[in-house]
Amino acid sequence: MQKNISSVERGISVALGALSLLPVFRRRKGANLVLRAASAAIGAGFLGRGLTGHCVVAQRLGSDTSDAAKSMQRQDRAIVVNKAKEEVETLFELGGAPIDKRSLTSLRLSTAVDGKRTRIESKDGEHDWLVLRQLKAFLEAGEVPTVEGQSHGERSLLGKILVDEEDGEGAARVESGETKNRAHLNGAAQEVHA
Amino acid sequence: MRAVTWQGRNKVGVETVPDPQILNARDAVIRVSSTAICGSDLHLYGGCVPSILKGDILGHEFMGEVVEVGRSVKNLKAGDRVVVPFNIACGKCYFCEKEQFSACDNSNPNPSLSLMATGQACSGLFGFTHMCGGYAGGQAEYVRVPYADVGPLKVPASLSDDKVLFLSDIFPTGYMAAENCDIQPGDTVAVWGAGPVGQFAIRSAFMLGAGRVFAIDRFAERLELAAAGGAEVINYEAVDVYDHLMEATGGEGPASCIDAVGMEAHGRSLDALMDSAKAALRVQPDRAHALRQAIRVCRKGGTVSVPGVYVGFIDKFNFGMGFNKGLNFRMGQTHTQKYMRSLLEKVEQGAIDPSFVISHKLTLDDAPAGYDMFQKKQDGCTKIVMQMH
Repeated sequence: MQKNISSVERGISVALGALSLLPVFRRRKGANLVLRAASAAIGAGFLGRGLTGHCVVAQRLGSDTSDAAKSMQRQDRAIVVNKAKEEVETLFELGGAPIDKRSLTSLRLSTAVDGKRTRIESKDGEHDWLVLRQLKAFLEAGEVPTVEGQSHGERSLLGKILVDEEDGEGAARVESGETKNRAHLNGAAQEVHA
Repeated sequence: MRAVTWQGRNKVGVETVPDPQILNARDAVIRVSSTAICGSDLHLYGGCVPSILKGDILGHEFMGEVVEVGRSVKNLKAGDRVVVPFNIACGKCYFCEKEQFSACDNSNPNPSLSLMATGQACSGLFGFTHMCGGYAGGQAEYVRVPYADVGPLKVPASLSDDKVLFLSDIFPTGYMAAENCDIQPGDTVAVWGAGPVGQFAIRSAFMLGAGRVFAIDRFAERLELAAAGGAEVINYEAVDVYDHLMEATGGEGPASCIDAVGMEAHGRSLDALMDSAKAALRVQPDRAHALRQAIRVCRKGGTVSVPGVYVGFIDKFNFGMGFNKGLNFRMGQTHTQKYMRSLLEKVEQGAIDPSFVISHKLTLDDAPAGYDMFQKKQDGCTKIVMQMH
């Protein structure tokens, strides 16, 4: 589940959720069942929002105030690749880059200030920082780093939420957006650098 | 396979988990023969470092036999005996080409967390939090090693595990700490912390030409080990470290000061007590008493070298002292790959036998007791090695 609210919002949601659940567990004669049910629903909603970091309302509104999104906003959506511009262009021509071929036109390549490396910029902001980092790793190291599917011990409930464990494969992923399409990316990397 | 996993603050367990697999073309899978508990593992054990989760496999000092390689790994084959550096480096980025392997730009699959924490994404490390990539560690029967064509170093069969295991971390870490001091012949060097990294820093300082080395700690067995390495020892609970070092150096202070303690410094001074209180309240993870003391006593124009691990912010940091004395500050995770080969040669030549630091040999199933003993410094514990076979 993609996180789309900030850490502060998550904390507030958890606190509100806990407060809302208090009347549910309070033993009071003649307590209104409807009120209890409403409290339980609201509390569970806030708790879920806080623990998962995902808000359906924000999703509908297209809002993303997550910490990861903020960190991406701070980037200038450009990377410097440790290869000459001609080498980068050749690798692009060979195919397999972790960006859709049609999207390559949205990248601006220029020689970096040091005259040796290549600056790659996302012209219209189509590609976020993480995608550009994957591209950089692919171009430099021939593969995109991953821990998806590696071994780990029994997670706590919080751990399962935080690492976005999916499919019961034991995948440890801190940011769900970072490793999406990894199989495609790495397959491509292996072909180019074979 | 069996693996040591983090279970919460001051608790580790030994769990049965799936065997690791090749995930990328430059991976290898290693069958671990020996693995050690590092002092920095204790920071994780104590819950001092953010972004560790229950179930994470610990360990970044390990060696063993290659059992499988990815299709892009041409320099290794099944059966090779290798030591694996604790940091993970692609070998191709700007930083790796400058031999700044611990600054590798490509090895961290979770860069957002460390970007937020430190301004730039750090490299990946084995078994050392999700901020550092979330890689499974080497306190396990098997471990997946990314970029295996860059990191692992083949070691000769003539050298036992005990002699080469520490090329994975503490020997290069101590050596880089001393090298960062730019030691001139006859220089005086002071080393805070006579744990394993401190011990190698002491011996490395002598290798690089130091005339005198002081070792500062409070545990008798560690000070004895430091004295065996040629250091003059200071028990900081018995004497005032500043006064002692100033007197010993004719009022100059040591030319170089090495903080091999890091974020969990002990002390009875006001700053140490305030650090402890803040750490207990979770408002400041780093307890920097040793570092403050090193800055205060260091000679004008000298160097403070920091191999000890710090993770966050430090209150009441005496940076002005450093400025007004014109100190040089050198620090950071070790560029292990840069040093492994040359230090292996020193071991082969008999210039040093790194096994001197081992105090306990355990099995993997003993890990919970081992962590507890190492943390409490019981039974003269300086270094624990867990043997698999």
